[in-house]
Amino acid sequence: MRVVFMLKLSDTASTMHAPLVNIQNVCSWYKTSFGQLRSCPVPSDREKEELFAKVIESVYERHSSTLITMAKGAHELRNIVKQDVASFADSNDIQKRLDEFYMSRIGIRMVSTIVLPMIRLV
Amino acid sequence: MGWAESVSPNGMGRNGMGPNDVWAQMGRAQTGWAESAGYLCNCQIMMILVRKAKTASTSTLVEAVGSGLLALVYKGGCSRATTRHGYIIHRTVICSDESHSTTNFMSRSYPSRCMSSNASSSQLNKEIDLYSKKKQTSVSLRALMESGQGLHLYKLGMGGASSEDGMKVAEKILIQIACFLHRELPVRVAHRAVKLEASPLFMKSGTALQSEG
Repeated sequence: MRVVFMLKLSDTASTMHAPLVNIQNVCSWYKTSFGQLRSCPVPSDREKEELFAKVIESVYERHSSTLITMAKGAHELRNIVKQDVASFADSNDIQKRLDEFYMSRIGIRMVSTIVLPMIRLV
Repeated sequence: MGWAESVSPNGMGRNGMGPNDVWAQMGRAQTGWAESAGYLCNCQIMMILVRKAKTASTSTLVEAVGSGLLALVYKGGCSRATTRHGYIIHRTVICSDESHSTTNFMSRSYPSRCMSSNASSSQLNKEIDLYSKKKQTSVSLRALMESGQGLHLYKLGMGGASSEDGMKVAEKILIQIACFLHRELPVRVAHRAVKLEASPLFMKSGTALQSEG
């Protein structure tokens, strides 16, 4: 099933032509989110807190397709460096960067997920 | 799903398996980044499921997410595993960069600077640069759980769990966590943006990549 998933990704990725446009997209999402988070007032009371929760929710939504987009980006990258799947997957540098990226992403998503279900409890 | 079953809260599995066994049992040997990406995808799907289920309390949430992160932590090898309190993850670093401070994440002050929403992109980039130099605060699952229970409220001078003012304890906890996120998320997001942009692998043209080998 995972193979099918990856194959599907490859298909969609092969239609992209601009170099690494996907990863640049992901990067621009982060910048947008940063601006949004910074312009939001400190959640010092209930109303501001609700506003902040909405911001977090929208940030969360914006980044929901990061995983697929990064996979497309990696595929693009592989096409550019013209490596086969095995040697690309063995590339330590790419591994390290992607590992770091995903670990950090999951951390960000995890801490921000905490606040969302709590809103509904109060 | 086999996912939740194969990882018990104390992390060792029901048959006293070691972490490597848990990992192997899940059939997700690390064969490349694509595999890890798929794995993380599972983990996130689980987190979303937890969210959708509208869990009854934060500690349940943390527990569920915690067991999900278990194998990830083993894989990353960044955890000091301990079985205290039945959680294998006691001091898990949830963000992965080396630049962590381990300051207690609930005891910091929260500066209130607002950026005008129509700031130009160069201003934005400057801000991002500035924030990417700040240290990320690592959060342990335990700290998350405890703050969800209100055990860290006293640190903000908001009174203990038994204060008399009108605000409900749950609201205080919520605001405390929201304040923390308000301070912490821009830092983490800025780290992401800068690292992605700075990475020659990801951003430069094909020729540069090839010469790099």
